[in-house]
Amino acid sequence: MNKDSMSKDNMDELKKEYDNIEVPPEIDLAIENAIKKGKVYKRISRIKALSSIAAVLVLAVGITLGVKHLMTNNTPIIVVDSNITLPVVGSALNLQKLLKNYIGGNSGMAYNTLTRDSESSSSAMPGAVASGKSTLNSGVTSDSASTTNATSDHSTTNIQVEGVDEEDLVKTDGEYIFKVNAQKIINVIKVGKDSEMEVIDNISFEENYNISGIFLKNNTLVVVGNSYANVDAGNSDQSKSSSMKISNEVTKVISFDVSNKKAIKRIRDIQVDGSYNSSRMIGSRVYIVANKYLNSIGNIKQDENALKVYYSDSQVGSDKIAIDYNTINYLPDSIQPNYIMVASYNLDDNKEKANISTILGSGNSIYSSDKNLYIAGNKSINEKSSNGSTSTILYKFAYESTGVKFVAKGEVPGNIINQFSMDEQNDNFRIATTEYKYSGVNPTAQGNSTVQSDDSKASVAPDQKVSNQPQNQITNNLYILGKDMKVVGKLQGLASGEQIYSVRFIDDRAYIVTFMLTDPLFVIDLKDPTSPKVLGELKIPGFSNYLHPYDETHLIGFGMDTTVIDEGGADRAKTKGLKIAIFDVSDVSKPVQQFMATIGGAGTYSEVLNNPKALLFSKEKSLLALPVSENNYESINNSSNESYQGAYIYNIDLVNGIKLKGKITHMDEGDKTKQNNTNQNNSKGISDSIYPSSNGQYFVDRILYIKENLYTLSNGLIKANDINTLKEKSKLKLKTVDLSEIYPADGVRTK
Amino acid sequence: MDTNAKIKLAQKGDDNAFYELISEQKSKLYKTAFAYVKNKEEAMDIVSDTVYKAYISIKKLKEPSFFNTWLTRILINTSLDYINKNSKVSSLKESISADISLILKDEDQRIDLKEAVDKLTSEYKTIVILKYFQDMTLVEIAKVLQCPLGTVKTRLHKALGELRLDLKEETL
Repeated sequence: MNKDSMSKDNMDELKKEYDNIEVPPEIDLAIENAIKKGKVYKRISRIKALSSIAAVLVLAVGITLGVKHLMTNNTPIIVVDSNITLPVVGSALNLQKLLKNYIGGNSGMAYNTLTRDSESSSSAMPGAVASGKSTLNSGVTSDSASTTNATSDHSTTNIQVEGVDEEDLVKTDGEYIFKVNAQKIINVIKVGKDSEMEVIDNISFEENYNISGIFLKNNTLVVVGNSYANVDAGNSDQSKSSSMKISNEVTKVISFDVSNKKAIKRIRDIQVDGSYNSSRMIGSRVYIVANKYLNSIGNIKQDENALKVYYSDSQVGSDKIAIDYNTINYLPDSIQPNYIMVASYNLDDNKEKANISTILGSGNSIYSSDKNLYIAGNKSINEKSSNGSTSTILYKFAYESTGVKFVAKGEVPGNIINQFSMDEQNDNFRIATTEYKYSGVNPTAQGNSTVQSDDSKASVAPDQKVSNQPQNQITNNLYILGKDMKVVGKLQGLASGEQIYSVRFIDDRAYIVTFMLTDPLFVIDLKDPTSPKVLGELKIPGFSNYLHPYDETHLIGFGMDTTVIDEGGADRAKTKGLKIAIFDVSDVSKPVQQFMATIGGAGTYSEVLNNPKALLFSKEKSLLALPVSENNYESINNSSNESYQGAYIYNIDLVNGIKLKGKITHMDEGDKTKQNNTNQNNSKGISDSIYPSSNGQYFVDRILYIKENLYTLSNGLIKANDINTLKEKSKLKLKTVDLSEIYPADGVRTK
Repeated sequence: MDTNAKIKLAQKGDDNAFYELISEQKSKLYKTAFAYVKNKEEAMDIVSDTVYKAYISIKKLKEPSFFNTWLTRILINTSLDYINKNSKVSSLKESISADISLILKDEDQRIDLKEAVDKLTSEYKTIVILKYFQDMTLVEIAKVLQCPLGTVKTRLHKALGELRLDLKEETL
């Protein structure tokens, strides 16, 4: 008895000691990094068929090969530029040799990426921003007001570069709306002159195909996505099976003839090995970038087939065609166990065979002008320069009439956050990076925090502590590279200790937002490419994750409002609501925040922050609309069902600023059907785990306008409202799929 | 502050919500990991790994109200994996912090118990951590460990038995 009580007392003391365990401040960054890593994993695995690739994956740069090669010229060496001749892999044996060197030199570390090695994966993904939904963290047009075509009477996807279309979940030609529904179906909706709507078709696909996005060009609908050759059930342990999944992943592009909406015809399938990364459409030509990770390196000897990559083109036949090693190029100083494959084809000529270029290399973020394609990859952690800083490798390809051709490789210190970190103007390539310098040898231990690359800043949590651990190993840079990808001008050491949250290049200027406790918006002059200069800077609370040009002298920033709190003696920025601001940069030396609007409290989120394609903006119509999930974590009374999801519609101009015009939600629809859904789920024994409230299918994800109507789309519904009064005119149910069936709710591993 | 709403958002892919959820639990996560491995580096690794696993599988969480239970389970499994893999768990004595004497009157006794706890098999140690450090009820522990309540009781009883035995030996 006595013993018992003694041990109880002592147990209490042990508990006290437990309570007093000091939690190191670096834990915040460690958490962020873990989330980043998780994002990388998700991207790799098919859970969301996102754009970016897996982490340290390597890409392979492309060569022109494929069909053309098979059919006609057999040049084993691809002439890349008049001067540059890239060597070809040539044979499986040679490839094995190349990769063995790679492995030998790096202790095979890179392979761990896919098995959750924290170090390698961390190095991996600087580029990718995408959040759950986004397909590519892509963005928006670089010209002001380019979201909408001034001459047309309907909106278009918010893209980065005018004339270079990007895939998205919704496309319209003004008469029909095509909507990707839950990655599985495409709803084809006819919109009448007034507001009447009719579902004409619901295009469905083979079971294991996940749609990333669509393009619409005249009468052709192009669907891009991933398919899994072999979705093996044995995926109970994700870490183990992840490489399996990757190896089976193929990127599939499907064309439909939609000239007769009542009889939509699937006319062409093109498939390449590897996970889907990104795509662009220029004119009538579609370019698709995929990454094929060579995950069987360990077994090279046994299985040389594992190194082969295949593609197929229904125009040629249904069989898979192995890509000839004689057409796969590599960069001798940058061997990576990954192929980058760039497939392209001509929508106007279905007789023309698809062109596939393959290169051994590594990359994940893509920027495309109308002339060149740039693929940015992180230099593998193993190759890191001895000073311990990170760097980005850039592969530049030129668009040609029948495909792409490798032009040059470049390299700059630091990592990018997304495609908006890159830009091309007058043959010069501009790029803004955040550079992380390793102070120690082991980046995984607690230091992992400070080191990583990435997008987390943009997409994950902004809360960040100014800890005693100085973050001065972080710095930001801007580089200008010439045609040949050699650096011609640079600006280094911007905002030490902060990370870039967003970047926008507009003509001769770069706008860069970094963040720690407040948001400096830097205005940088690029007129002289050899000597970029900071013209001015603005410090305000909050930060922008996305910058959209309003006109020549104004920008719209989308991000989070923040407040600085004192947490245990350390200042810390805490996010409040979503923030939209207009910055006046007409006096470049003194940018000012001219107007601002906030939405909700902490926890409020919009897909626009990670995926600008979710934004609808028309300067002519003074219209700004975005999907928002509104929350307020601070409010104690807020019960789960009170959070709001829907479209926020603003009137935006330089006189009155950003004024809320109204909100459109589909949630009410969800409430009505909730009962049914619940019953249905129960009867099927399925828990609706992805969209737990069962309102998820009524989360508005895109907003567009056609003539006088504003359309909001969720997976369950499309609504038409008057664009001026926002009065609801009509609505229509959409066919969707139960996502919980696609992603069954297995339990987590238990022991 | 509605945790359920955040969980739902996080399941839908809202990284901010996920981050906030984890932030609320970070001290507990770290301390528990530390209780197992007794050093900062490994504890940080365990927390990272736990957050990573939670992030990629939160969609599979059927019932939002089980979030904490589920997260704790991941943490424990991760810690145990870690211990099994790197069984170089440092001895308790090294980790005794300098401020101990401030907290305690009977330091020796306490250290004895610490050692005793540390010697427990991980199965029993887990029970002790959850019960006495995290103040969980036996029912909650049963949920975390996904085993019958009876099993928890038995293990706790045995764990205490071992502790007492150990103590007895020392004090005798």
